[in-house]
Amino acid sequence: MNCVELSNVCCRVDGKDILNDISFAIPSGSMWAIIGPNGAGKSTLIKILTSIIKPTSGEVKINGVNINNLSRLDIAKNIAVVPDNFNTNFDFTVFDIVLMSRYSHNRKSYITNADNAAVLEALDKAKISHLKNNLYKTLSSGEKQTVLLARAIAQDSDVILLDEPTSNLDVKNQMEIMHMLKTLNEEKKSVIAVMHDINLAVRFINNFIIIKQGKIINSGNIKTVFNEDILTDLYDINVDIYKDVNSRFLFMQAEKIK
Amino acid sequence: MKKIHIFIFTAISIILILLYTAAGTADIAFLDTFKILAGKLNSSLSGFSNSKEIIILNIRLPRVLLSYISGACLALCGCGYQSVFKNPLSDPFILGVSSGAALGATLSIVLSMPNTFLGLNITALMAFFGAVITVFVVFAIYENSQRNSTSSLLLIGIAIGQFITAVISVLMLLNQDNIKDIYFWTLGSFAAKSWPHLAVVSVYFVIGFCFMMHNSKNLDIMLLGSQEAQYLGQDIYKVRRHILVITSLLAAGVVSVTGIIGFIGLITPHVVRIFTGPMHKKLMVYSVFIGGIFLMTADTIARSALKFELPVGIVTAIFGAPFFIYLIYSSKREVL
Repeated sequence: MNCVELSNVCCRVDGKDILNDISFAIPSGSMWAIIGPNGAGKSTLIKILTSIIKPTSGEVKINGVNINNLSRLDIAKNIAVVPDNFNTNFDFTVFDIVLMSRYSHNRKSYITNADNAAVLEALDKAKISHLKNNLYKTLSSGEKQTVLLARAIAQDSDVILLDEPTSNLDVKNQMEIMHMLKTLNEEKKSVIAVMHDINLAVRFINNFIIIKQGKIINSGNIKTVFNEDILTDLYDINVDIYKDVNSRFLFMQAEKIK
Repeated sequence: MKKIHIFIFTAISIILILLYTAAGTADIAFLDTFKILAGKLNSSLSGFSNSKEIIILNIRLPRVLLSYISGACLALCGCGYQSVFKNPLSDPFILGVSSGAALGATLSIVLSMPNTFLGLNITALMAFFGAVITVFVVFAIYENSQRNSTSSLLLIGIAIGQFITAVISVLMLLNQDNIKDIYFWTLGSFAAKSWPHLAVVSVYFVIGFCFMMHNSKNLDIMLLGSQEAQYLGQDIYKVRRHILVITSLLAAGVVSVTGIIGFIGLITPHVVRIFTGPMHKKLMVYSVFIGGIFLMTADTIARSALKFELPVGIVTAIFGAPFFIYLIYSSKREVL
């Protein structure tokens, strides 16, 4: 069973092709990264997967169901999104922010015991229970990102979709977020992360979709998907790839602009 | 939301209603007022002159209660508008409710329409339809413009409001004998309001309050922005339309009875948010209390501070603005 399946998806905005004939399928319970340079169409892809934007043509299926047949509530039950950053001027506490993820389960004005338990469990999993009563807007970037991840956990969807989850984070926070994603994947959640930091992504993620100018230029397992030519073509720079002793990790070093 | 707080606010409201009913230019002692009110419950306590009973039971009490319920309605509308627009300057009148109501009232005054139609006050009816038609015109233009942003809706509302204000000015210039009546209507007043007005506004309030409380989670989520709201499963365009239609109808209903009373819908949610935070279930319950107490107090001052009655809209602005600025300065929390 595929949690997400795109067939020949095209997206044109204001006369410009943003996505062109995109097709891929992501098996349930797997962990994937979508990489590509700025303007490749990665964020548009997230909006299409959550039906914020409708594709110009092609078909999107979530857990085998055409997305056009799903209500917004159904989509939220299937996919939780962690945005690259979210700020608010309102005095929401961390608990408030995470609690709002339960909207797809309970839209009534009261909080159920299940909502309360799910929020507390998500805060515990994300190791931020101590921040429960803090105001969200006063948190550091790393803490905010962790709260957004806790929100996705409490939403209890099969798929967690992340838009550059480690951007603006220091190394420690990057590692903590990635470890959490790995743990969630081990708990059978499907994880799809748009990533800019390839060096970080390859340490934790096995499957990649590489996008350039709205087209998929390669996809598949880490062992087959990367080589110097593809990365050089992708970013228009010369790169060197190093593997660690287990041939597991790559290290991409930009040499100079092509 | 603690039950003890609800109890305290309910108790404060009842005490103030009793005190304000006792206040007024007619010389009726506080104790007599309470005895007249108690006499309705226990006939052994009655026995006051008929005129005193009429003043307390048929003039002051319904007026005090009407100002309380109207303040509660306007505060509730303010909560809804500020959430939908995520804009601190949003109030119940921003989509043209006030200007539409004023146009309806102006037309009834300049056309010298009969006072009542099917037993209903014609100026109030015209104001209500003026407000409702204006809001629907604003929505129709917005929906046909194929735009999704709330700022577009806000700008259309402001533009239509300004257009209608200009039309009213022309009508006033062409009918200078009626300028005073129109001007006083636009400043709002609870003078000569009685039980039927209270009954009408109470029905609006009950419907509006139930609807808004039912949508408290929707209002919370809308504060996150449209994209975040959609990620969490909210059909934001549908929810936004429903909330704006109901709050606009609620504001139109109140304004048609009381005239335009500014400031309550704008500042009450801000003031309450400082103490409750932004989650709407709490915010709306306390806004209802504070909005009611604020407007009821303003109306009591308006009718008893001077030898002549002040339009209540003037009192809400004179006392509300400095208090609001004080709160902004003294609060550690951001107002918005």
